[in-house]
Amino acid sequence: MTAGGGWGLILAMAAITFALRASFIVLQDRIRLPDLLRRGLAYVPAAVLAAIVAPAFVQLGGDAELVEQLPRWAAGLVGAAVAVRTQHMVAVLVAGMLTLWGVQALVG
Amino acid sequence: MPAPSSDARSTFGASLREGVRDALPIMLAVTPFGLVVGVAAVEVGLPLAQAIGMSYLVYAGTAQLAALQLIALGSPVAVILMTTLLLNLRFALYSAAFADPLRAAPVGWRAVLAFMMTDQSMALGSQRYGRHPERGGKVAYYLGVSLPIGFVWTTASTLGVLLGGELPAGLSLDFAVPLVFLTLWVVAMVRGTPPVWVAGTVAAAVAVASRPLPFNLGLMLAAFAGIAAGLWWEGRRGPAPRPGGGGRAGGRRAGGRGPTPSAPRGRAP
Repeated sequence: MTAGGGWGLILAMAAITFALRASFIVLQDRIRLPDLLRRGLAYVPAAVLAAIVAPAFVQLGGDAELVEQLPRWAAGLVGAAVAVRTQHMVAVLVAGMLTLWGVQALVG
Repeated sequence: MPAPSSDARSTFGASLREGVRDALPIMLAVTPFGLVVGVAAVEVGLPLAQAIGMSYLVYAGTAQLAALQLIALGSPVAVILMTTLLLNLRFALYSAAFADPLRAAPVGWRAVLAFMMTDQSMALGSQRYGRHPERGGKVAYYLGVSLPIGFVWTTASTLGVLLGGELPAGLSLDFAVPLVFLTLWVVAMVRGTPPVWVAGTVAAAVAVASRPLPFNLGLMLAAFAGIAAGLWWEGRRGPAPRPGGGGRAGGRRAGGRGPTPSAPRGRAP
């Protein structure tokens, strides 16, 4: 079954998210995380974000031509460099979008 | 809240204001992400009420954005819910770290406080609780940080929904979405320990390689591969800093990296 939105999906997402947020704060001492899971949680942000980001910028073996991919690569590289330096979302958005538009204008 | 004595009331007010003051710079940076999520919801084709309601009910920008991308790809409901679970698992860790500081609130209020939890309230809260463990007003400070962030973020995403159709198409504004995730990822990596770098790198490689898999299953595969690689590296290299700062009283971030503010500036709820 595919999603396509809907209140059911939104409410289910809300319920999952709230359960995670409330877990220890509300139930306090009644639950305890296994140690391995607890340690694994430390790597969730880096791993999950990488899994979302990487395919958006790098597409191996796709049918898109190199020239078509160039603006995204350039914007990704510039955005990553700015992110490392500033860690500021606004700066990355501005630099990345300007690079995308600039390279699009050059190759287009 | 229970009715406080006049002394406790002044502590409450002062801590509340202290939290609002600390949240001010974050409010500005949260705005574009809220706008992006609102615009994305409209572009994916969610009806107006759902696009707005999502930001109030789910109130977790990263997971919402991921879900919207998955909806656009026609992913199954189960994959979207699993992704939500994975992306928001960190909240369980924050919840463990905040159980003790928020113990003063009655259980019903604790549920409300938990609902308002964001990366920023976690980051600022754990900083203050770590610096001044003896000081009161912990609940008030948490409220002071969380309320303005929640207000700005829901307002910005609502604005994004309303403006969504008006934004010009040829500008590739949807490209802002991967840029937001890029920022969040880079910040997680830069502030991370070596096992975090391994986790992030392995996950990125697996995600690129497994992209052709149906239903975006590559995302989950990559996430689990990255987490496993991080744990493996940690075991190989001896104990890393304890995630969550050793439990409830610690209040340090996942991967606990000392007293630095650990949420990226401009991170969404």
